[in-house]
Amino acid sequence: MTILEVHNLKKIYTTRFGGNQVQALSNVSFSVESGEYVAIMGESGSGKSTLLNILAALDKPTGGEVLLNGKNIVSIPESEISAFRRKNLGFVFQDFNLLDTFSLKDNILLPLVMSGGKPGEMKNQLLPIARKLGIQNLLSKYPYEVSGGQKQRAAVARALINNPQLIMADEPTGALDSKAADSLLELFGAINAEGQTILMVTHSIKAASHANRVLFIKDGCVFHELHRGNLTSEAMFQKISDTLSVIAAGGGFNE
Amino acid sequence: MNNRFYQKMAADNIRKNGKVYLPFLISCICSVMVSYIMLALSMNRGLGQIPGGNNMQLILTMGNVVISMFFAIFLFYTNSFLMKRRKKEFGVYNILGMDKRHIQKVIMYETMYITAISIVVGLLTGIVLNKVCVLIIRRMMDATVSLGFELSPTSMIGSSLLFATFFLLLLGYNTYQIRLANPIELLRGGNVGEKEPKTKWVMAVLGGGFLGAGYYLALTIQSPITGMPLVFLAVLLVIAGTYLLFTAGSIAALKLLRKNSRYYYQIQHFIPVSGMLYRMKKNAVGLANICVMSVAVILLLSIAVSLYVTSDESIHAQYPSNVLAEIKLSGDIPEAEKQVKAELQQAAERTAAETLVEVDSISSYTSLSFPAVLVEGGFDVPEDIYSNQTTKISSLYFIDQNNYNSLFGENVSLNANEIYIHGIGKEYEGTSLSLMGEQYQATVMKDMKGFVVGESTVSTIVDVYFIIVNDVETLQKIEQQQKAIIGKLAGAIHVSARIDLDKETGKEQERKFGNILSDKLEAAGVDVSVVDTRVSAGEKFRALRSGVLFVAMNLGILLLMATVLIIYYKQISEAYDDKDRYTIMRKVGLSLKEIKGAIRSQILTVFFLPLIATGVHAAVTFPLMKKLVVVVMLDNTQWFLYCMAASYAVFAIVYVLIYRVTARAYYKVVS
Repeated sequence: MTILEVHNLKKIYTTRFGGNQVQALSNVSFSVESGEYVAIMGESGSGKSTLLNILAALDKPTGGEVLLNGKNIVSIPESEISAFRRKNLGFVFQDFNLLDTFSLKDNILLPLVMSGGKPGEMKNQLLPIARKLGIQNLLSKYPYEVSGGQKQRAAVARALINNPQLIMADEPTGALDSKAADSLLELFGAINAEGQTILMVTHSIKAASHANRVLFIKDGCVFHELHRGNLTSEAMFQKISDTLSVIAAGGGFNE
Repeated sequence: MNNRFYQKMAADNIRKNGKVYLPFLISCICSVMVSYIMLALSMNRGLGQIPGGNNMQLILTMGNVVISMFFAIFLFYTNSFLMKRRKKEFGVYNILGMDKRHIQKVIMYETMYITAISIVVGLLTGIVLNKVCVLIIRRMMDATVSLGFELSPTSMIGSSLLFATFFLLLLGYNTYQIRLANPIELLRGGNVGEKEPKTKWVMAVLGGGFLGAGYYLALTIQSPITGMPLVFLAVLLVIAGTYLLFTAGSIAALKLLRKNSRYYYQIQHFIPVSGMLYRMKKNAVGLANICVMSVAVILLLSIAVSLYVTSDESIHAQYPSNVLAEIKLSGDIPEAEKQVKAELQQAAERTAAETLVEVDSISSYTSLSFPAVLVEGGFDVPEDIYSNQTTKISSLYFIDQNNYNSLFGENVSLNANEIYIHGIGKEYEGTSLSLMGEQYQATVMKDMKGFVVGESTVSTIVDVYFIIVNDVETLQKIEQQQKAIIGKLAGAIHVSARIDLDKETGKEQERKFGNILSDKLEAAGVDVSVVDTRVSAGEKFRALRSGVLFVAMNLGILLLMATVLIIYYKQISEAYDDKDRYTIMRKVGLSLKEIKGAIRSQILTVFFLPLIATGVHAAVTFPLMKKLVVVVMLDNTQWFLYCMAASYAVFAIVYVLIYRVTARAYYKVVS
């Protein structure tokens, strides 16, 4: 079953006085199946962030459509977009985006509270997730009291608590040391193994090598696609690395 | 790098940080302005000359001390916001190669500029505003106010020095902060998470104790004039209690709210409660500031309003006749009484002939008054009655039955050691009354006719009892007895005369009559205490009213402005702090509408806490304020309660308006 379909996505930024137009996305099309773990790679300025912002309904495309479970998120009215986002999407950010004013527990519960959940039910949802992520003992701590890896786990818990259709991760390992990054990637793998669909934007070959499929974006287009198949992470790592070298060399690499 | 570079940089910094500096600058200017006006008023000669003006200046001087402390807290409070916002900037300078010494130099110049601007502009606006207020009051009251547009160099120097000291302290604090921090800490500056505050039980208990003690004093102080230091202490205690309770109490309250998961886990409470808890320490000081200011505003406004609504007619309550004269008797009282009464009659008649005024009636009577303490079965006159501030003092007014009968055409007949008594507010209980060793048989007489005069003013501060004894000899005996105890300050027997003039008598004539009568009595060699006319009393009263009205309006409006500014500044600076948090929430899936709701809830809580506390303070301090008002208004105080309620209502409306504006401004910043 296809969860996410992106058709001919286009995004043009116009500078303030209408002088220059910058094409961030020229023509992006791809789809994500339910239970897939997709990584999107690309250099700085390739349009990754723009793409993710549009998928997250934080930004509107200039053209094209984004279908989540067959529903076009571009056409959802402004008033419903926030509710839609928190019901269907879970976000993990590079800089965690945890709120200093909340304990980890309250940070994780935030999406539920926004949806008007009952305290008892929320607790029931919180505990299994916290246990799975290994942060059940840190729940009463505040973000400034725990390490980066622990913060990111809390952020993942926050993304998962609503049972979203799709988890979107924007450079989730970007601010972590290699050990914390490894353990987070393992965690993503485990979550994915349980059937959670994940879409991850990343710079890191290592992070991407954990995905089932890697999309390469260059100059606003999907430039190349890699499937893991039966490859090990190490072999995948090598393959991605080779692809990136080719892209960087500007070669006409086409499947 | 030479000094000019730092100077230029400092000026640029202030300009570039205008958004946060402007409110700070405005607050400083307003503070200097208020400080100047208060100082100038407390030293104003014109104000000192009007009756009651001395008391008012004493209140102003004390108010000045309180307000100065408040300014210090306020400046440090706003400065801490400012520094937090600017730490990042200093961090960048530090990394770009500026020494901390250089940064401190820049800060020094900045502070110098701010100080100069605040003091100069503050003094100028203070002088102008002073003048404007005088003009308005003259218009309103149609009064001949002699105070107002006087340049007061002493006050200018005084408030300049005060604020220069404050800014020097701020500079010291800021440079110390810069010296302590390393560049990375500076860079992070504004974003360092404050630790969640601990519930401070000691502070909460201390605050409760202070507030309780302050309230107790406010409710028990009998005479605000002799108890002035106590009044001052009460004010200080209430303020200290407010600050402590707001700081410790609000944290405890918020934590309780957070514990209640049913309340806490609702989107309209979730964000505000955690947000407030997060920076409650600063929040609390801000709220306490608002609360203290609000109480001051309400009290001042209610004094102003009650002055405005009290009519001139009330002067009649105090001056039942056109001319009043009091003459002290000494020696053999029955003899002296006869002689003085005759002198009075004669003097009045001659004065009438001389001034071509027709006298309707002259009546004179002999009376005695002194303070005493109500005890079981009678009254006690302790030696320290004038210095004692804690016991409730009663005023006793004595007259003998002959004087009473002839004055009012009554037929009272008392035996020796028999008295009639009438208490204002509360009647005397019991049938026997002991007074300085003598036993009297007391009967309550509810209607004592015109002997009961001007009681409402005095009775607000003390209980008043009017007593009729059987003859002048008894009066003299009582006078001697209390003289033996109290000494110099003892009450003396007076002959009081009430002279009614013809209705056609003009104001000028009445005044002239009073003056000439006074001269004649002096010439006759009697011991004149007072000769006063209703006309001149009315004038003095009006001068006093306009004076007090001026002061109250002036300060009330200024403090209201300052309150508005604090609230606005607080909300704006917090909005900047909250901006990032709301951005994150939006990413996680909070709609603008929900954000608006959360903001509304937060601001509501923050706003209405001080408003409620203000109401409680105002209610508890009401009795004390009523007494204070008597000191300056010489008037009956029935209006004061309504005025206070009305002021509170008006204040609440203004407050809600401020709330609306701030909520909008806050929302604009975060979205």
